Amino acid sequence: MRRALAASRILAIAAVVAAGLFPIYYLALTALKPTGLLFAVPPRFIFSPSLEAFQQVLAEGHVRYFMTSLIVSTASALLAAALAAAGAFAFTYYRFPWREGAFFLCILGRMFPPVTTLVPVFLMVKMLGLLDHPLGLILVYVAFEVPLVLLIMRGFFVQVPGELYESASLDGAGTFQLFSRIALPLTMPGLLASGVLSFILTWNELLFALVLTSARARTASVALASFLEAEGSVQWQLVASLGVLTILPVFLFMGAMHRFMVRGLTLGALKG
Amino acid sequence: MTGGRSIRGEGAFWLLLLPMVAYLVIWRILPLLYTAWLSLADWNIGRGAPPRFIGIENYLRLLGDPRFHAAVKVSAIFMLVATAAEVVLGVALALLVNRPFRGQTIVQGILLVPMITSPVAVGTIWYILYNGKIGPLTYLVDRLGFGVQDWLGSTLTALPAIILADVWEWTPFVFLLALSGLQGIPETVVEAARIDGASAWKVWWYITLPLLRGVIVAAAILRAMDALKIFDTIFIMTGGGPGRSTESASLLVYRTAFTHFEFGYAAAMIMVVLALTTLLYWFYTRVPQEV
Repeated sequence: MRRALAASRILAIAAVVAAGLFPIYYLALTALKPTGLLFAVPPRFIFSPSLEAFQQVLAEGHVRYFMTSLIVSTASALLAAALAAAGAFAFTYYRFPWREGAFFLCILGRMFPPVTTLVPVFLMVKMLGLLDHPLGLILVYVAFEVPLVLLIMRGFFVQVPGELYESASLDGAGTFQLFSRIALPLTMPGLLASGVLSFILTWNELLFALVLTSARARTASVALASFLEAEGSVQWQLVASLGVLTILPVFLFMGAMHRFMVRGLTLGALKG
Repeated sequence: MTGGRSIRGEGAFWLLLLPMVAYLVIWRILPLLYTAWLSLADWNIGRGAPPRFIGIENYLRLLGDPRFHAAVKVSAIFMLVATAAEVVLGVALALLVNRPFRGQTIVQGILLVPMITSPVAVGTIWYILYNGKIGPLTYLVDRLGFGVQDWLGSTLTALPAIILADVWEWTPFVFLLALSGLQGIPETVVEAARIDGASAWKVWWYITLPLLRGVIVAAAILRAMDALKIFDTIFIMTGGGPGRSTESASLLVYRTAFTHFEFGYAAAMIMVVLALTTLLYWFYTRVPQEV
């Protein structure tokens, strides 16, 4: 009985892992299939891979969609981190009337989906003359990310021991020094973790990118969507390789930052 | 989180606080209020006339608009079925795994993969998997004797096919949440029940599941809120078709605003969806947070 249970556990874990990875594996497989084998019945799983599709991505200049996505996601994550870290610091240490109400208003965005602002935001970006410009997307995405960073950073600031501020204050440090020299370095894991989450959030976003861009500032998500719309004549390997390139940076980024994400959480646990 | 120590230097605090607050007011709060106002106006940007206040006329029109009803129905079915499947599967798998195991961090890392995969890529992946010419599913099902199916091209199977993609993407979320909830249950409680002679089934049913209830309900509501606004994967996989059989509320909002340019009418749809989300959020805040 016990052995059967242990075996079924291992089986369950293996099944979950396989189900989680197979679809992505098949995407990569499709991207690497030589044209001749693409429509083979039964579908081929073993073949010598071809880099045709990725060469096509380079040759046809599809790289620029990824550059746009990279610029937009990085810039908006940095801007959101700066705005929200400062705001979270003030919210944590400064008492003022209606503080909790104001805080709730600020994180309202976590509860109201962005689509609630779709039409006005489109009109605002249009008025600023930033339609189809990366800056327009950056401005909009920062507002998506700020509530998330604010929430995470407030949780981190609360855990910084008050004595550190007191002794620094006695040494003559002002509010800005306390923020930049004490609070920020101690909460760096939280800032990095929320930065990574912000980056992923905007890298993956479709709806607003669809509405706010058309040709010049097209992001990777929008480009992928438009290549799939080519009804009937979908270039499968190209689409699959664009899909792989859309996923890959997020995986790499998440993998590289994994240590910080874990450290961020352990720091929270230690001080809690 | 109500505490918080105060430090002197008021002016500096306002300098740190105000940029963020001003930014959110400009880009989130005022637009939201503008949407609410717009839902009471007639404004088709294609006609060039300025917005005109018409009271609740847009909402009355929604009441009698079969296309909107169908879209809400698609969103509701999607939300209920996907959430139920993800919660049942995720919790069942977590119960099966239960105790910490070797390689758990690696498995948890792998399970993050579907969640952080961009929804556009998720749509692309499943579009390929379902495709009759290059995907493996059609071949497999045909070999099993069920005949050739056009999964995304038939009104009968298109929505379930999209739901399956969502289940793939989000079951790991429920699984990880439930697993961390399970591992937070004190060993002694379970031991005590075992010593009293409870069978494994009884321990699950009378001890583990009730202790896990908070986590399960929270996960379900979070998933439901997210599922209610489904857009990306449907846009990619079917574009709302065949016919309008998979047109969700978000997809209809997008089309109404940016294909037909009926901004006022689209705003009214948004407000209805927002009301539903708020209701779910209200339920969420009532769930005791144990994890």
